[in-house]
Amino acid sequence: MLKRHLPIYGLVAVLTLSAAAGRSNWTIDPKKTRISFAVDATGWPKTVGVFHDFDGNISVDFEKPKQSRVTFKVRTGSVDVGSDMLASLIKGSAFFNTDKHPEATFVSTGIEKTSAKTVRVTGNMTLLGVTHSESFDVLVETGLADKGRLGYKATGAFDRSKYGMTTGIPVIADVVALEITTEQYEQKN
Amino acid sequence: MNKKTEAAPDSWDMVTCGLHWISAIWVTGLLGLGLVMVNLVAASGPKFELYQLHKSWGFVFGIVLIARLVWKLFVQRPKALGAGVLHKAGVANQNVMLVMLLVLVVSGYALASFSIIPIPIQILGWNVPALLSSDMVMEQRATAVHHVIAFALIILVFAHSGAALFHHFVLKDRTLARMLKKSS
Repeated sequence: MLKRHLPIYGLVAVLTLSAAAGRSNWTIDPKKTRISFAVDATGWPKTVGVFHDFDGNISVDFEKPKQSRVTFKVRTGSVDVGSDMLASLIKGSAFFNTDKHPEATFVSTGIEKTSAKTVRVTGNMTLLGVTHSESFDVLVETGLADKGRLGYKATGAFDRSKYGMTTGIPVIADVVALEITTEQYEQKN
Repeated sequence: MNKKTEAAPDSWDMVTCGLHWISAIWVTGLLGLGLVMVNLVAASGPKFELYQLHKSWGFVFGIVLIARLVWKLFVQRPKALGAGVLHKAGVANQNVMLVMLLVLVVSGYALASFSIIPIPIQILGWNVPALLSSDMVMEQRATAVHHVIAFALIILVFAHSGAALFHHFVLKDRTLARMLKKSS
């Protein structure tokens, strides 16, 4: 199970599932993790960004998926939108306000299996110091499970206005789409 | 200085010539940048940077334009080299272009200032104050004016340039030359 969270525009995901046994600690592989968001705007191309600085932990219980946990912490100042100038605007007080709120977090509160390969992860997302419950659909890729690796793709969307990020609405969309892809490997004790 | 009592000179003064050619290069760049940033650049990040560049250079051009308009009050047009309707149309075209440039500068500043997204015009790190309060409808109107006038200006620039070349190569008079050098 995995979860991810995107701070900026939020997010999270997680997941669980599959069938091995017992509870184990899995660490995400930062090199194979991508936390991205997309926001639409009127008369402007979709702005897609990624965060380079984040931590994530996924504690997977394959026998009792509901006991699995996912936490993500993203440093919103690491946002990359293909332009330092645009990133400065996004990091500023109009959007992420990274001086006051350097991190966005996601902590799972529940995981529900929705199909053989998918789970729905619900958790508390905190952005700009405001916390709301958000849910993300996660596709779990178990092809490399026997080699100690699991892949995840979490998708979801949230309204940034709920977190007090209202700049530019409605010219810039309220809805922020999140997509997190990651791989995790089992920690050897 | 009283324009009316002095005989019309043979050529434009050096300041007018300098401001004219600086404007020509500047305006061509801003029109080109405007067309590229709106129509050719699809990625949000690079597009954003080109827009900010256009805003900054557009604002600085506004200062050049004001200098040019003020200077124009104090100098006299050289002797006319033509006459008739075409000549009058050419002179009118020049004045209309100056008005259009003023409209472009004002509407450009206005649409940036009206924007509900606080993105200041920056000049070497200095933020140009946004004096107009956010207003989506007014931003859209200012944007529409900016676009329509920009396209109209492109047409007049071609007419103006074509006329200058026509004078130089067909009529073989000094209309173009006297904007390039003081006297023959």
